[in-house]
Amino acid sequence: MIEIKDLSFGFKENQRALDSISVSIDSGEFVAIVGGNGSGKSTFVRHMNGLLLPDEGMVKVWNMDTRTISNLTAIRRKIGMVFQNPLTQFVGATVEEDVAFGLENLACPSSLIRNKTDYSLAELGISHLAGKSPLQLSGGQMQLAALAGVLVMEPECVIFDEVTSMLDPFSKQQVLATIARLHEKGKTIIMVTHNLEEVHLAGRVIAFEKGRIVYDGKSSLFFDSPAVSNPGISIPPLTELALWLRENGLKEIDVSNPDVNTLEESIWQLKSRI
Amino acid sequence: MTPDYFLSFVPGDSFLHKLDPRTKLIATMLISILIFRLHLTGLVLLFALFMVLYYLSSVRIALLRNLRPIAPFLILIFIFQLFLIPGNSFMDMYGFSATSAGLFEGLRIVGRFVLLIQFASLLTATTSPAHMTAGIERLLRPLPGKILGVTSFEIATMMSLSIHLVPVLNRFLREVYQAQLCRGLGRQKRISGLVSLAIPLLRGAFRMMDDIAMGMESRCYQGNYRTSLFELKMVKYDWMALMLVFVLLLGFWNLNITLLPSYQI
Amino acid sequence: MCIKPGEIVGMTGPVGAGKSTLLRLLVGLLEPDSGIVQIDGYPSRAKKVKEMVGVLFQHSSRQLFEKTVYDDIAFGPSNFGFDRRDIERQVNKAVNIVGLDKSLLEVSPFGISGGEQKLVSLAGIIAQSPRYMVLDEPLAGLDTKGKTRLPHIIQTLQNMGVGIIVISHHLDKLLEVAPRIIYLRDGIICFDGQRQQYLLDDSLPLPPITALMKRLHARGLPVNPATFTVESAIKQLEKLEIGDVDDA
Repeated sequence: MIEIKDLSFGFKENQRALDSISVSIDSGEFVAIVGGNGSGKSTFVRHMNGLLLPDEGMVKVWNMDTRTISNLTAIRRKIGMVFQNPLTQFVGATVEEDVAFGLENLACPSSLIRNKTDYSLAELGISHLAGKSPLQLSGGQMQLAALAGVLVMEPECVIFDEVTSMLDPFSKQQVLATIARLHEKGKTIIMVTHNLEEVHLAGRVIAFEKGRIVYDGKSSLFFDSPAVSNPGISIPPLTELALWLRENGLKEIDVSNPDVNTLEESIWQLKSRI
Repeated sequence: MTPDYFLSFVPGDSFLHKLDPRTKLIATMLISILIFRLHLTGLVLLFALFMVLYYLSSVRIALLRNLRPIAPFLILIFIFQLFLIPGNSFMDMYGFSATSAGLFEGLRIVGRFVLLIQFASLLTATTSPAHMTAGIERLLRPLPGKILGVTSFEIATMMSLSIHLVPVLNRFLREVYQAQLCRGLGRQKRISGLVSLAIPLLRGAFRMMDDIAMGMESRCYQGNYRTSLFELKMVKYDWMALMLVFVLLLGFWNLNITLLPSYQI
Repeated sequence: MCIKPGEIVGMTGPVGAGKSTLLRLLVGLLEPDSGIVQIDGYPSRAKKVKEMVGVLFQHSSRQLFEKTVYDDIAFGPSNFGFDRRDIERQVNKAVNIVGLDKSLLEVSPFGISGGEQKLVSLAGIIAQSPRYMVLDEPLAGLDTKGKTRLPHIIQTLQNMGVGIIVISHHLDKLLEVAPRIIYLRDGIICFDGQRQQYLLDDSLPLPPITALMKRLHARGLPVNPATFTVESAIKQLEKLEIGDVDDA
């Protein structure tokens, strides 16, 4: 579906933001892209819908090359993108105007825009926000509205670029749950994040460091790879504890997504074995 | 409900809210032309018309507050007219004499401005920004925008973006101001007081624009033909309203009933 | 509530709990409807207060504006009327405390990374040598290095006798630095007390490690339920000798 070959991209002459990257992503996958600040992860995903074009190599989406300008609209219809800052992706004065924006660009007739906008808002459970201005919304509500504005164009793949990094813990959970639900419904999800507590949602993890891929594989094996010691990445406390437990006798523990319940049980088991 | 900002929209479903934005835009333009043609009597009649429309609109905009931004300007004009126009003096102050000609002329000019602003605020109060931009876009569409390098769609998008971004930038500015205040801004009269607000604001605005442009692009914005969530449709009432304004324009054009004396300069 | 010099208070609570309103009341950007806010006997509106209380706002790293990092850090002290030699000393001291690379002082604040910008704005506040500081989400925008450094910075400031309020959503990080915790909800102080008591209170949100240790404690394991760091949790588990299971 998304085919990337030897992609290189440089903001500055001597320093490459991306260095010959080759990746392919299949339909229906849920990929988490992790890495520290400035590791190239955001630059990377911006190549997928042609916001950035490769200096070298190629990016193909459903066999359409992003360098062919006439392909871009078709590509962007298939791949939607939600960004980090909720406030600066709003282009409408109200939520419904903002959600309608994409369809207006595609020159859909008014009545169709109305139907699809209403449906998209209802799907995310935010119909009651339709007439509100972005300044009246919480960060989480804004991100859901932005997502509605992407879903209204019925993309096959949605890219989330650090969408939870400016949210409080509650909104974060709300948005993550929505992303997980979208994946269950069959959408391809690509989620850029620097919070490793989020990677267990994904089946596959791609880790970036200094413009290169340092890990690409199953999320359950990610915490075993050397990529975890990457300076830009901090391991969540429960995972750290799980890793310690495994080193100390509990071979079968799943370190990719430990929660309080499973850890409690494991420790209890260990204790009772003595 | 009174709006927070000058010339802002007040939601409602009155007769005026339901009119097509194009009807309201054209009517306001025609009335503005008329305002500059009329003398005092005509202005009083137009004010009566305004009050009727105001009542019909069922929005309770703060009529006097709308005038506040330009009130000093209006007072100044009035005083100049009152004292500087020659004629029968009825009052003498410090060697200047107020003339009745000046009084009427002052009232006329101030009345024009007041009426202009009130009609404009009625337009903006009953038309949502989205409808307004859609209306302006539709009116501009026949213009050969291609030659000038911008399409009517781009103008409309720019308009709605700026309407929506003003409060956002406002909030950002307040954040910066408060932070700099805490760092002692204004303690010493230094030029950098202004700079310390302007630079972060400008940088913030540019970064915001970058982000917005990226978001728009990834949602297939191309600046060419696009439709709108709000379909504009001229119905019977629109045509009737336009007809009425036309009749008004023609009827008042040479109105010279001089119930009140009118002086030409 | 009352905060003493040299005390570190962690403040947390859900969105809209009134944290940022409280912050603005403290430095006199807002005036209380009723009640009083006093800082060392001065009403919060007093000009003197701005000098005594340094505030690191959430997006403060975006608000840099001078030509060089040095000038930016010196902005506060020069506004508050320090003379030139004092300013230089203050800036150097602040830069040392936050651990900023000295070579950055002469470059433009716009050319450095986001994490460094955050440290610059923090240094700008420290250079004012306030008696109290309010840090709103100081972790946001810091890189990993800065995040590990922050507790040291706060410690150093405390040793200098500065009273600090840290506002954050990151409960575990907050607990690490602040012995006293205030929990706000819907504009009301739900909890104000020592860290240990906070951790024992079941009605308040707890960091995951604490939740785990609490349950283990409830099951009869001899662990401290008020544990919140991984290191200390691991140490306690080591004592239980569960690590030697395989050999046994």
